[in-house]
Amino acid sequence: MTDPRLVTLGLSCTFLAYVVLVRDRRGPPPAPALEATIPTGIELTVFHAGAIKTYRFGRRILVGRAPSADLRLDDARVSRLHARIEMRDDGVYVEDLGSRNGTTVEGEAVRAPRLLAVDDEVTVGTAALVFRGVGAWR
Amino acid sequence: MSPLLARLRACVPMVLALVVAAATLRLAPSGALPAWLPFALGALALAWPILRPANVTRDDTLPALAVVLSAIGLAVVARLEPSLAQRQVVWLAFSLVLAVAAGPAFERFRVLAAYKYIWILGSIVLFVALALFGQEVNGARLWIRLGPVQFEPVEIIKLFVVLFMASYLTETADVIARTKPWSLRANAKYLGPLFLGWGISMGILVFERDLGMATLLLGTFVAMLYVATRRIDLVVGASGVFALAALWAATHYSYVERRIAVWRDPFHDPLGAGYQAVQSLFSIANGGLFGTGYGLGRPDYIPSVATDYVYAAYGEEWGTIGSIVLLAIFLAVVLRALRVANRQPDLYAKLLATGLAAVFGFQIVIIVGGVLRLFPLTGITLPFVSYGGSSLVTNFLLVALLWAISSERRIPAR
Repeated sequence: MTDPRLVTLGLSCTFLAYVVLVRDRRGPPPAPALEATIPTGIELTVFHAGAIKTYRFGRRILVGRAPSADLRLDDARVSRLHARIEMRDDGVYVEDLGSRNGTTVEGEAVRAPRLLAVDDEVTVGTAALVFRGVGAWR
Repeated sequence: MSPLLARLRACVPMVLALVVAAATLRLAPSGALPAWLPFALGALALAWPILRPANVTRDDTLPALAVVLSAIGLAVVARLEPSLAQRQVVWLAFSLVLAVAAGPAFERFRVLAAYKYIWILGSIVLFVALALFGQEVNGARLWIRLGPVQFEPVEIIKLFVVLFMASYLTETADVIARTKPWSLRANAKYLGPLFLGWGISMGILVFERDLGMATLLLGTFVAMLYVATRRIDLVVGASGVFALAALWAATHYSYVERRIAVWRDPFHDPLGAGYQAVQSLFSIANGGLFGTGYGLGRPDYIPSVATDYVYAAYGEEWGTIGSIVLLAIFLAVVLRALRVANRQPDLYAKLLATGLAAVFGFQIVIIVGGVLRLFPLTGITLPFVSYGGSSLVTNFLLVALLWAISSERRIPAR
């Protein structure tokens, strides 16, 4: 009589082979939603140290004094990583990252993530960032 | 593909898993389990893929692998102690019902990202309940008794920790990643809440003398942190802190000291402190390459064999070959889970799947490595295989959540 364990082990190995070899052939992951494939970015006009410049960033901007920040502001009143402006499903939000001097939108301090309207002015240290909207990269 | 065909296709892995499960449970001594039982459990398990939404594709092998593992566990426990097996069956049925019932809620798992501090609050409430109503077993206060049911809250807390970490890191990973290692204030600011939440659970676990769970949470914590931020200095730092804490515990707590002494030389006191470890080594050695055969070994010499040392009992009767197959099934679960993480578009789903894979994988490494004496044994369960209701329920929920995360939109046929 054969060892009954052989049946179990054989079946287990077959099942594993099925899991690894047969079921593994799922195609590539589905394409992301159309709006995510169009490169879009947040547009900001930056008023800082006497200069006015308009930039188009990506979907997420880290503002701060650190060299690794996306928008680097060389300003003693700006924390290293000061604030974050990011695109979410329902709009563009600004969030303070626990900075020393705080972030304001239209003069109001930002405590929780706040939805930005077009032409809202965000102040970070002595800099003013005006939100211009979201545009597609051309 | 028509919806009916899609539904049938979703059931294929589960049907195959049930064949393996039936072949495994057929070995169990007659009388240990009622004859109708495999059919009832099989029907419950089959309801799992049938009741899932048909408009998405999912990794349907995940629940199937869980069913195979729990069948192996049931067969081992039935052979060790039939009375425990009957309780395990009730827990198994309960876990399956819970996993099926939680399906619709888990489908909208992304909502959970917004409620991160609920998980920390929930863990603290469970710990307080444990301190107030907990029962002491073998010098550790780990169980709460609710009527006839004993419940181990730490098992659920490990899921809570993963859920908290995933939401917190989704928000802060980019900031932590760009903080320089030497910038103390910034690190304290962004990592602070994380270390606070995790440190509290860690402290209580050490206080409760649950070293296995403490190690497990540390491993998961570091893995998720690294995957989210790619900062190797955090891994080095956390490992250093853990090494120091372990050293301190080894010199200040007698129960830790004893564990390490047993690990270094179990034969120093083979009839006393080292008895369990020595018997487990004898069991594994007795099994050899091919094993003694189901029901033909003597794993009953090992104390608490159905929980902590279940791997030694399995290794004796199924041999090295059986153990490799078992570990391969565990490996398949972890790899599938990491694949789920890889295929999801958003950071929250990625981190959640990675965390669940880490908590599942590290648990196996910690208990199997402990039984094989690669490092000191810390008692936790071998997922799905060990006897233990809370562990079974938690692991079924873990797999159900992973399975929900694996949902992908069906690509419309062209």
